[in-house]
Amino acid sequence: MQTYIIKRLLFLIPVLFVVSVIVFSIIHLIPGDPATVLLGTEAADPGLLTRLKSSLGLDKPLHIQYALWLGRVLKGDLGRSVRTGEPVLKLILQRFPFTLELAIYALFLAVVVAIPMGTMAATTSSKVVDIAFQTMTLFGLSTPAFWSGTMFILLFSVHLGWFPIVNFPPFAAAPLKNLQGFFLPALTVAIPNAAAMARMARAAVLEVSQQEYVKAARAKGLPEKIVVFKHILKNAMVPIITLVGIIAGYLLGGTIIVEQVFAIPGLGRLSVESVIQRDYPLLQAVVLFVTVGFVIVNLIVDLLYVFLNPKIRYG
Amino acid sequence: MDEALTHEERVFRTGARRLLRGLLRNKKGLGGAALLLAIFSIAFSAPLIAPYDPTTMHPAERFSAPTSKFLLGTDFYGRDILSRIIYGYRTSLYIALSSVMLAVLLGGSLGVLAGYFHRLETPIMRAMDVLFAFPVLLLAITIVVILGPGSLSTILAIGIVYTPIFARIARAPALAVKEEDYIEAARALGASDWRVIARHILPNAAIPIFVQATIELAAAVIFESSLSFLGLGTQPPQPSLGLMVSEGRGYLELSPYATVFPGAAIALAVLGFNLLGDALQDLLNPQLRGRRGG
Repeated sequence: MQTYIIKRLLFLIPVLFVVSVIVFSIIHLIPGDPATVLLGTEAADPGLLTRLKSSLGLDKPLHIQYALWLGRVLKGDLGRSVRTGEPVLKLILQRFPFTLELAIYALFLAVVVAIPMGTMAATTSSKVVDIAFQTMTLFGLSTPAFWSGTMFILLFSVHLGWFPIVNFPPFAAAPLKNLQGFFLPALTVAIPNAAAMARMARAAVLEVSQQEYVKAARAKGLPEKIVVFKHILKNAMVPIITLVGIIAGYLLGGTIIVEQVFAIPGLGRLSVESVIQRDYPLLQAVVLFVTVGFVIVNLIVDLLYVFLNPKIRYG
Repeated sequence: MDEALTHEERVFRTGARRLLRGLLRNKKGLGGAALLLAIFSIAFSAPLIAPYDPTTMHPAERFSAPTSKFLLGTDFYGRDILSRIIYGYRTSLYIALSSVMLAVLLGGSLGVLAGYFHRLETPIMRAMDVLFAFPVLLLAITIVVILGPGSLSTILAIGIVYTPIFARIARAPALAVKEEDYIEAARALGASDWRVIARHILPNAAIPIFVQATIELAAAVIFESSLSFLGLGTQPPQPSLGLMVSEGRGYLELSPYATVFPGAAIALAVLGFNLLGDALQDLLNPQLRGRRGG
């Protein structure tokens, strides 16, 4: 297992290297001269343009430019916003808590609903429950988040007035108001993920139920509750927790649409704003930040998988 | 005639026939196929069945509720929502099908090459791992920003994002088949690598790729409409279902129809692909189907 962890950590280096090359290239791949792109509307001033080119090293060969950029990134300097002139890392760190809370809240809602639902669907013999489960998960997977979110706003905020629109006070200042404000967005993010999780839970529980030791547990007359909780669910948890981890990683970059629908000032909305305002250094930094976070979460999930499942031996 | 077929080609034919027969007996599969048939027919015959031109404005009848004249009502510009949905289906299905086809061709080829030619395996599969390292929507947004918004960029963005999925699926059968003794024998008899790939590996990879493609089509429809919703996909005035939801949101309290109906139309198409994909997957992995075995 140690070898696997070391191997997995070493593999992170080339992945992060290539990711950094791709992210660095964004500014160069966008049509137009990078300095003009960076300056935005101020690019009309030729003096400013030349000064920026030499200060950023844009007059140097590409590989030197990359090395300079990477050096700055490693020191925590992800560049400055074209629009506000502020360091982009500061903007990212301001917005990140919103995305993080949305992701954690959504993951919590999804897990609480999906795992009992999936287990019930796998262990019941009721045809009605099975049909209800299939229908609910299919609809959960088939409804686009931007539409279900909009429908929730229309029904629960506009018509019933149960939830405020665009109200996200910090959790520490007003915990209840915060949880209320984030409820509909978190629910919207949770639905398709809960559907996927519930299906995985059902499949995992079904698979474990067919194992000999479960049959043996039933044959020796153990109560059904003990069979389900101690023998089935405990063993079915490995694939379920893995999927929860994968979804957790995905949510870091997967809340863009819902943040846009509910006007949550998170990282996803920041990335869309950077595109609309042609603030490409900001887009570049958000892509780098989220991707590195995504890679690290995925690594943790992989390691967790090995930890949870000692039967697996990685070479 | 059967003598001329390779073992894999025969397995493919039997597998495909079994899949089709199974599908005809599967309620989910039949439901999905029927739903998709209806949606594809609507999209295909859009100019014949749409009551109005999707871009024609009726300024006097803005925000009309559903009436006999406008079956699903009209939007902010007085455009007929039903006609825009019918044409919107065309755009959505065209982009979803093209992008998944691109991913199948690109990912499938790369996967087969990686599985078959040992020296290509590491560079190709590591490149796929790097693509997997990016969050999908953010990667797609970045590609669209570089290429400029529009239908073609959307197809390329979704196609590239889904490429690694198909590369992984196509690599497995290539790896498995190339080790077989009869492949060695075929090569010794002078069969070229390309012939081995075409006649032994592709038939083996075709069914899992097809099943995965059906599942990814559902995701591609959502993906396309999400990009359009953000203003990065299909550009106005071309009708797009995601764009319609996005435009309608501005007038939600005045008239919900411009948002409710296009969204429901997307969900129906996605449901069709999901039903079909589910049924195909059940048929391919029968152990996950059915009820508790113990």
